[in-house]
Amino acid sequence: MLTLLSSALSQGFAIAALGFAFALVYWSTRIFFVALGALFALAPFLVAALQPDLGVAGAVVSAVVAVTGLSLLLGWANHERLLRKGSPTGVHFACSLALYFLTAELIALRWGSDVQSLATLPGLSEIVGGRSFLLPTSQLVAMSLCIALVTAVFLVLRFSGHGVKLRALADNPVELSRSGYNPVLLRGMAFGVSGLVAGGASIAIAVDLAVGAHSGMGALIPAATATLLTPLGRWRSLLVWALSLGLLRTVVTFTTSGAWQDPVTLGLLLLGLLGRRLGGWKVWRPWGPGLVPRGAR
Amino acid sequence: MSYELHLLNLALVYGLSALGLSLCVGHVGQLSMAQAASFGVGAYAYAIFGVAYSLPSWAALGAAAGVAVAFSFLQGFIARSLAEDEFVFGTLAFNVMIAGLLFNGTDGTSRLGSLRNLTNGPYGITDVPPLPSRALGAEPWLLTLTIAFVVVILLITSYAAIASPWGRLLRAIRDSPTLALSLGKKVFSERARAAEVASFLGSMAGVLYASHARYIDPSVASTDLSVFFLTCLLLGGAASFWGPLLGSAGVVLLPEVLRLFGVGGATVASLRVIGYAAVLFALLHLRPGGLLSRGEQPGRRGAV
Amino acid sequence: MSSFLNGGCPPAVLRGLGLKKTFGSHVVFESLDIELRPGELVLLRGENGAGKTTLIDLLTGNQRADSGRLEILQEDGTTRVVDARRADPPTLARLGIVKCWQRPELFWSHSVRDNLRIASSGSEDSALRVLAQAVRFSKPGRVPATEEPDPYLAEFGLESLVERKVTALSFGQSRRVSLALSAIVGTRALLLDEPLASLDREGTKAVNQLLGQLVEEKKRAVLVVEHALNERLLAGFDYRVLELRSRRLERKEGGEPTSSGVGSPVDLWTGTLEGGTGLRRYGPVEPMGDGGFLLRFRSAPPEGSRPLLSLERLRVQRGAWELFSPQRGQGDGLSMAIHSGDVAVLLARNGWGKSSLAKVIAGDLPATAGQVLLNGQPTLDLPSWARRRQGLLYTETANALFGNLSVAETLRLKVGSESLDGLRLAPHREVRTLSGGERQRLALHCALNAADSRLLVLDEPFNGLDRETVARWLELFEAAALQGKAILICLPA
Repeated sequence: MLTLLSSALSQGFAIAALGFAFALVYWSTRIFFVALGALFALAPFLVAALQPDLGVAGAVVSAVVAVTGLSLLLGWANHERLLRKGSPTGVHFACSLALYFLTAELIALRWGSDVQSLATLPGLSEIVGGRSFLLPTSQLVAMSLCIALVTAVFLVLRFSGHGVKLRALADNPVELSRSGYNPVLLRGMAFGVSGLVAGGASIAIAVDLAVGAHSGMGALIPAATATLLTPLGRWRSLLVWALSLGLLRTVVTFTTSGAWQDPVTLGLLLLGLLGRRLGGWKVWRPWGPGLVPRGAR
Repeated sequence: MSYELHLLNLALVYGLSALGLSLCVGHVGQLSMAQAASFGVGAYAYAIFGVAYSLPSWAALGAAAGVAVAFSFLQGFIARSLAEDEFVFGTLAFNVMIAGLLFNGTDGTSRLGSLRNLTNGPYGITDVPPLPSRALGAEPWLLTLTIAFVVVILLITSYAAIASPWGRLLRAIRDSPTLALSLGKKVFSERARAAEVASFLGSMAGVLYASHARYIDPSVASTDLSVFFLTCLLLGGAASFWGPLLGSAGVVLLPEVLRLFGVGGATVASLRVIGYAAVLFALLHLRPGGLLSRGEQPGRRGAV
Repeated sequence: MSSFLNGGCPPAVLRGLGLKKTFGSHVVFESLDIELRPGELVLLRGENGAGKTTLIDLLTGNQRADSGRLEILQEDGTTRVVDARRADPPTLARLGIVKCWQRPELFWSHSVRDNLRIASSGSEDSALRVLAQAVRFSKPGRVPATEEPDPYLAEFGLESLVERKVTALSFGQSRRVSLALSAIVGTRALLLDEPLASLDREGTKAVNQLLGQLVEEKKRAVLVVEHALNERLLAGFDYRVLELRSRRLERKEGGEPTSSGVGSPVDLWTGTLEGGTGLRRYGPVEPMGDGGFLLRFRSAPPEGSRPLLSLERLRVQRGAWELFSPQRGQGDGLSMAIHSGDVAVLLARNGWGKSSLAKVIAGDLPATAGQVLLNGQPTLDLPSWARRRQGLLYTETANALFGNLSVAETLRLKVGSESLDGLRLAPHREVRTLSGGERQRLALHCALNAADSRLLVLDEPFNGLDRETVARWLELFEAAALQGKAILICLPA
């Protein structure tokens, strides 16, 4: 029972962390930053590769910096460019998906298709081996890191005023620019922080479980599900959804098998999206699928 | 089977699927990531009927077509209920789900075709009957001919639909769903219809693929394949008739270029995916073509 | 409310009964009744924010009411009742009730002929019908010539435009096509949201002609929402006036517009500005070419300082045409200079390019030739946020806010403080629940109170506002000008 609960919480906070990363970009730009999944997969491999030279702490910092930098690069070179051409969100999504596959395969080419766990790294294994409070220490460490990330993002958005700016960016980027705020910088910030959080979360998860070149999509799916089910801008609701998903997935794994997690998660997503359309939940667009033209109130 | 025939079969099959997808993506303007789901369902339906129930090839094809129709209603339901952002992600989710179900649809021990083992899971299904029949299976060119025959029939029907007032209505919906609604068009129904036809064509392409490859596994419904179809579509032009067909032919020939450079082994699989992804990326940046779902509205600029 | 007052009055073709609409705590109507009769033109008047567009939306299904019902009389004499809480545009369109948008919505990648055909073709419901249609055609890619003759081509004067792609139409032509599409489907009632807005003389004449045909010949019920300014353009018609005031609909007599728009626009605005404030016009009325004029007003005497804003031989590309060009009689391009303390008014008809000019000054649109100088410094490729930081504040009043933000958040973002300062709005209300008039007030408030702004460029800030409100804003503008700001206001002539 305790194992189930702790697994559920652990997975829940992991989903929340990645969900916050995904939502940072989606809620401010309507872009599905699917490539984030590949960055997520990349971080632990970087840590493992850099650890012999830089030590654990150095490797972790470098990996996070690298992933953040890559995220900024993708945001700028790919999405910013598409935005300037006025491409619809479908194109952003398809591009991001293409980049995901590209990156994931490159990781597989370089490091193979096996999963990477950081728990066995020298320097880390002493800390996270063994058990504390009846639970594996690695799990506690991973969970704490994810909680820390989620809290940090929430507090920063709340108290720095950036949360409002990002919401304004999603709504009317032209007007935001006219009000004196640089939207390219704001979007860059969203992408950068998104990469940072995803990288951190990935390293945390790799300490407890293991992450592979193709794990990105699997990690992204519950995160994106939680984001899409949450009304725009409601970070606390996102946390609740993430934890619920963690519980659901853990229960599914314990009762049937791990292979059913994703179908169930996605079934829930589809139900949620369909339910929203048909049942009329509070959607952030004023009427139907956003078809009332602007300006023709 | 000669290598050329193999490529020809693939080009025909992928072309059909890409054309189906173009109805949804190019003509109605909704990006669907679930074409591989239809493809996979068609392939598995044909394989199960042919192997587990030992139906003769044409009967299996007919039965699979029935399954394809039923499955298309599912896709239609999704298209009717979701729109824009949610539709894109919803179809991706749907695809992953279907692939997952195909992968998990087995308990490992039961007989294929029974409820406990519908799909043989990761092991796949072997000895899928070829077209036109097992007896004539020894003649590879006959298979190609049969595939071409079915494809051409479906292509003609599709062309008729695209060029008809219905096709024009789809493109009108793409241009301005608001206006279409306010003029009394059943926008969501028509989108659903387009998605259904797209799905049906994808499933039939899957059936033909299964009869060609003789062995299928869950990768036949993977998201990579959806991306692949999208690439075929964009390479040739999403909102035209010949575009998806030419694009598929082009994409099928691409790995042959790799082969010319003597690249082989395990890296080929990765490189192939990288290749398609890179091509898709380049296309999306250079000529998004039919993915620009709103036509060219005067005064419309890119976002800040 | 519903009665055959005059003998022989035909029964109402569209009735809205007991319509109620609220946005959160803001009640637009409590229980409104309205009816439209065939062959009748109704003008719906009302102050900005009274709910004219909301009413149209409720009648056509673009918004859902909190309660009420719609009754539509069919051609065969039966009445269809639709629950206003669940109405949607396709249902009502199929019953013959159609809204025509102010901003022309067309099928952008098709020709005019195809647009008309799409509108008139029935919805292809059954697969068999699709197949049958598909099999009928002869040449690949062409829709068969056996289709019915294109409706409304002749009547709406669109023959010459028939093969053109709608993206190549002028604004007035697009408006006409848009009306034609609505007329094809709106066989019972047409509800038009400002059909005369932004049209030049030729376009107005054409639209008036269409309205005449629709009402008098085809006996449709037509409801028109128009600004007070445009009411005089309906002078040739015999129309009923309904006014939305304090959530109720009142009948008004005759077709006398409430505002007396006598005199030329130059005199009108000079009178308005000089009348309520200490501003006085100075310098000559500068012609800006193609019918545009620049007026300058000041309350303090001009200093000989460098202009705050200076435009030099500006040329701008808009769609397929170039603005401020020799073709439009503007020679070398547009030039103007505005000094600190000026309240400048740019008066030009709709379509002249006021919005495009404002966007070029703001940095949203690039100029094809010429210069925009702020304080003597060329702005070159500075994006709009950089120009804002240099003190240039541009407000495109119609599009100046963020729907998902609350009033308080908007103030914090644009003004830097949350103080309401006389703005009578609840701080927690979300902007998208505000009416048009309230949004205008908020947008103007933000413009006037924003910190670090030296030059304000306002694009049609007074649309739909009444006399007193305009006068109050002008007083605030005068105060801002006295502090050294410069204000450029673009107004329709």
